[in-house]
Amino acid sequence: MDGQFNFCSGWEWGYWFNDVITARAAWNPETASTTRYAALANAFSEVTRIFGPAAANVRSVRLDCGCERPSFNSAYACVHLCVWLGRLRRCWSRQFKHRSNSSCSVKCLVLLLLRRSSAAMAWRTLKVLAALMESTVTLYNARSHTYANAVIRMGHMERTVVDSGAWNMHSASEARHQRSAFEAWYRSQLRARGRAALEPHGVDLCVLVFWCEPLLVLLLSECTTLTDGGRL
Amino acid sequence: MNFAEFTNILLQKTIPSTALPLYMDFVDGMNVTAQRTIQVHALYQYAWGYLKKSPSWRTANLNTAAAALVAAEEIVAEREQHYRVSVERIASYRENPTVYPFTYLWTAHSLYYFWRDYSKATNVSISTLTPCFVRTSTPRRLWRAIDCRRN
Repeated sequence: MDGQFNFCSGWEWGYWFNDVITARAAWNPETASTTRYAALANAFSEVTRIFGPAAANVRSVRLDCGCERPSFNSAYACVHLCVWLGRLRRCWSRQFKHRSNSSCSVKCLVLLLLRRSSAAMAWRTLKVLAALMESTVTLYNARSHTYANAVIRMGHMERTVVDSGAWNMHSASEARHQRSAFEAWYRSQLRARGRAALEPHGVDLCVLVFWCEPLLVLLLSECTTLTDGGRL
Repeated sequence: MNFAEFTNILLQKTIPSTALPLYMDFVDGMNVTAQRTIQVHALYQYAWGYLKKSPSWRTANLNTAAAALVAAEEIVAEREQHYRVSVERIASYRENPTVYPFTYLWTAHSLYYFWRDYSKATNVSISTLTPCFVRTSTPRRLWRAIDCRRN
């Protein structure tokens, strides 16, 4: 190996943690861990030792805190899905060459999910995506897409779900139709590929915390793996 | 919302004094992210409720968004007390070696993203309709970046 370059961007505080985790992961990617969660927890436990007796608490809060607040989960999920979609858009052109075709873009997203995620993770994200699709279309009808733009932007993402033109639909009923078609298409993919094929292969540990985002560090690590395959 | 219970659970006193600044970095980061989430969610509700909700309901959401912005201001001001260099050096709007016209913590210092989204949700004008609303990059700067790379 000639060298390694770790790059992160788009966040302000707490990046020392990300840098330490990624630097250590270069030497020890926790290949012995059976799940990504375990790998991430192990990586955390090394770094959080500095917190002494509170290390276990810091680690568990950074891993799990977001899951304990159901009322905030949907908001967090929406915001992060947008961030994630923004990141994903950068991959579409490279991997699928479908920049303007909305249905292809959605399917590309699911394909990436199938390739890079566990079935459970893919399904959870699909649900959020479907809900977001529907609410976004309602929002689109209620007012110009500018409003949707305003609320689902985050950080340095200049493109949004609505900006991308991905949801080129004109009514809530059409959105529901798209959603059911989308789910049916996903299920057919699931059948075709087999659930076993959807399990994560290997451990791609890549932590990219967006603006000191300890609550969803786990989700983000999944997402960066999904979108960039850990190879930024 | 704040993470008071989070800080209670973790019992700051059990954290070694050497690690406390790092821990407080986490706490501030979590708090400001929580405020950001509250703001985005409230603005989303506000915009979504245009045809479906009463004006008072929308106003309440707008107030929530505004309160989150104010809370974020306080958090940022507190965190800036702990920067190891002057705020002007790393969080000001000035020419610097990068292609950006500001230094890297200026967006946090000014709450640029908070204000941008708040403005876009509450104003209807030609400028807010364009995707270039209060953009941080201009064609001139992009050209400068390309030019620098070329050289």
